[in-house]
Amino acid sequence: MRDRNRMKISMLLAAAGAVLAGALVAPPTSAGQAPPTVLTKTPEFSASAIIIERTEPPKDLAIPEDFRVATYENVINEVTKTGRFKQVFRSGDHRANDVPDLVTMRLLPVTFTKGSETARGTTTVKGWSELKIKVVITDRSGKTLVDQEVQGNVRFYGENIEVTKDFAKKAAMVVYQNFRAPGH
Amino acid sequence: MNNRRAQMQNNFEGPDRVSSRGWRRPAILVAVAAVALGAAATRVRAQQAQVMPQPNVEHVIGLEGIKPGYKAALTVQGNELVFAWDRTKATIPIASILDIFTSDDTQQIFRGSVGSAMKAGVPYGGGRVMSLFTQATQVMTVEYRDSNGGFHGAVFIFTKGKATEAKKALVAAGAHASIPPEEPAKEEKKP
Repeated sequence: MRDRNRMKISMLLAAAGAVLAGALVAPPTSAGQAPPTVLTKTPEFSASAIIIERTEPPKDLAIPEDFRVATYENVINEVTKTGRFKQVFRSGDHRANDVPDLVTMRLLPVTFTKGSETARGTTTVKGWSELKIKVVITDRSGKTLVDQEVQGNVRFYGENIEVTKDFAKKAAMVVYQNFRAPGH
Repeated sequence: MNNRRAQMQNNFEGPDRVSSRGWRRPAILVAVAAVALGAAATRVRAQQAQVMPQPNVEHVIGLEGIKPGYKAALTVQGNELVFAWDRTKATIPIASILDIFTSDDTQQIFRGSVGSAMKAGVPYGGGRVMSLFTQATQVMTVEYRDSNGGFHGAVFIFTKGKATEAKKALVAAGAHASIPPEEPAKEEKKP
């Protein structure tokens, strides 16, 4: 009888362990979370340096200046973290002129919804912050290497400006997937 | 008898008059000193206002070496905009500032990871009510170039009205702003 109880307990524990492990290993599914870090393809390009240009929204799309600046700064931080380039230059940095294999990253906003933290907090389904930007990376000759739309979201917790951070992480993932590490 | 009374009255009134005069002088002196001190304090406060003390300015992003969410004082010192508190310090040369923008915003009172945990901890969805408590704030964005010509942007959160004061102080110190600080800041956008 005791043995049976022990077996039951151990089986329950094993099942609970399996559920926990599954929850830990499973990739995040909800939007707004970090993208999976698994590479889906071998990176095609390599460059020793990248220059990130300022966000340039079209005239009919109003993006507050703090969101534009936060997007630019967050993208610089996240692209630097990828380790794909020896140097990450800011827009206008004259040192970039001397780099022969420099690539240029342009951020062209497509849509922007500021959202409302209060509406998110109270209703859950309203007040989402969304920022969709076209990420274009070109080489020195002007040839387009990457042209992809990336969307950042804040769907529940967090301030509106966190949308720029979410976008930057996903944009950095695009860079990570398309560029080889220096020396490879 | 009447003369005696009169003498006595004179005797009583005499020292009283002297003593009241004796108290008046120091009282006047104290009053004058208080007025002088008050004027001096006002002058000091006015000088402080010129250097724009902002004890609770939150850094959102853009200053190197300073974490997002860090609170410090933002002041104009000489030719620099200084964001400093305790041992942490970051400076932006005023001459390198390209533009300054301010805008109105609101901020949740219960925010951050602690605020979120509190909201989640309230039973029966009561945390949603906590999301209704907000406070008015102002955001200031400073765009500038480093010594290599690289573009930078720094974003700060102020209590309501203080960002306009800060912008005024910066413009007075020689910083460039495409939109004058006197204009309403709600819909400030790049021209």
